[in-house]
Amino acid sequence: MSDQDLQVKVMAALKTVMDPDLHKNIVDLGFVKNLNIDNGKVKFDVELTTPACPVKEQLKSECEDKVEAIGGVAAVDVNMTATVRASEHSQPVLTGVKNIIAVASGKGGVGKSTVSANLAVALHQTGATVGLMDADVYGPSIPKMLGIPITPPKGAGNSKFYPHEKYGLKVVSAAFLTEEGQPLMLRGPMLGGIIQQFLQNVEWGELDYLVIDLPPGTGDVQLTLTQRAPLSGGVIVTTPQQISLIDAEKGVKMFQQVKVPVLGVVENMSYFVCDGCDKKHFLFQSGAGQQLADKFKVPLLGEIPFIPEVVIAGDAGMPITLSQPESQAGQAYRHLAGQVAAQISINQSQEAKKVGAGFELAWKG
Amino acid sequence: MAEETREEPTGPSPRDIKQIDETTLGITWTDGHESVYHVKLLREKCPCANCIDEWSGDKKIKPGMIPDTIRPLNLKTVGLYAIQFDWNDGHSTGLYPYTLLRELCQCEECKAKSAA
Repeated sequence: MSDQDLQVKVMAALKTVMDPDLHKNIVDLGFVKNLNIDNGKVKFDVELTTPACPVKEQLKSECEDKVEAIGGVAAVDVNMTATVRASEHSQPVLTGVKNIIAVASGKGGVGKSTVSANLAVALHQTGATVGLMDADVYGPSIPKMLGIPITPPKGAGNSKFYPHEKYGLKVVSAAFLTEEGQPLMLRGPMLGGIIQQFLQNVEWGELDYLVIDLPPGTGDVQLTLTQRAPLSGGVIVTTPQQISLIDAEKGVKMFQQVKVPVLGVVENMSYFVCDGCDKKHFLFQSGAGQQLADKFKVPLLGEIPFIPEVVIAGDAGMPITLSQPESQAGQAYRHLAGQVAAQISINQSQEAKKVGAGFELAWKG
Repeated sequence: MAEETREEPTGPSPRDIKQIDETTLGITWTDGHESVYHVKLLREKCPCANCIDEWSGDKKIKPGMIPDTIRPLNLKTVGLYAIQFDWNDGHSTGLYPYTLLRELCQCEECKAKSAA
């Protein structure tokens, strides 16, 4: 068979490979690139919408199997790549940032910062460029969790500044704007001012994902962010007990009111794995995360186990996803990153054409 | 599960926002509905804390207070959920959420519905 005939057959075979999240075949999605056939040796790239794609390996082996099955194919070389697509917006802030993920909870103490830090690390581990904005102005804890000393950010001229860098992440935090250990005591308008600074004056450079760790509740910071930042979606963190649902629901409704898509729910401290018997103990009962997800018809993105190593890692300044990537918590965070990235890609592919953030119309009188 | 969420859980958003004539604003929504608004009505319905008392909910704009010459100078979207108008009477603090704008629609169909 000639290489031309083979090309037609290869494309036909690849048309039967479906992306399970986007419900389309990978040819129509434009994922197949640089197809090259030389004497029966088939080589091509599959360019996904995120390096964190949870079904990357599955798609790769399906491509290999289906192409190998074609008569006349001598060898198959599939190269998996990814280019993160930008959520559309015309807002004049964060122009180099493709996708912004806000991590929120209705109440404090559910481990929002731990989830944010580990989510950012796990996204970065897949090969994405990632920033982390610690918008918890009252109790910024991201620098401690990442082991970044409290030093003022480096100026970049024109009143702009560079984020700190650690473990490959670009990081800003309100903690860097104060003396270590000093509380930030601010009235509402000042809070908005700090967030505005983070949005406008940070030299983020090009980022695939910016993870924003919001303060608990539904106040000034959340409002400023949802009004000024073109958010791709929000992630709600809750704990398994029923009582935390009351507040977590408010978090979901906050995003819905300002029309930020809710990517899904993360249940943190889901269960405790005993080091003696390896049994999962559900200390806080179970199922609140699933209930919340069902109620608002959004996915349950992940369940993070409650293990002492998570806390130890956070206190030591190295998130567990880095220090113990193969622990149950490390795996849970990688799974979470894949689900978050997949959900953003799904939303982008189904996005109806609409007027974006930053639209302006001058009235002709 | 993903499909179910795509029915725009938070209601329709504008697909297009345009000036129809000197006193009429038009919005085409993602569900295909075409809304029209007289700008004076929009100014009268301003939802900001100066125009509607935050605690009592009393309307502070009385009938006849807004002149016929009222026009927007400029309007812009706020985040993904609202439109902010800059009016020629100097007022600009009102954010009109898309859900409110849908309720205020003055197309024949919606006017008939709210009258019924």
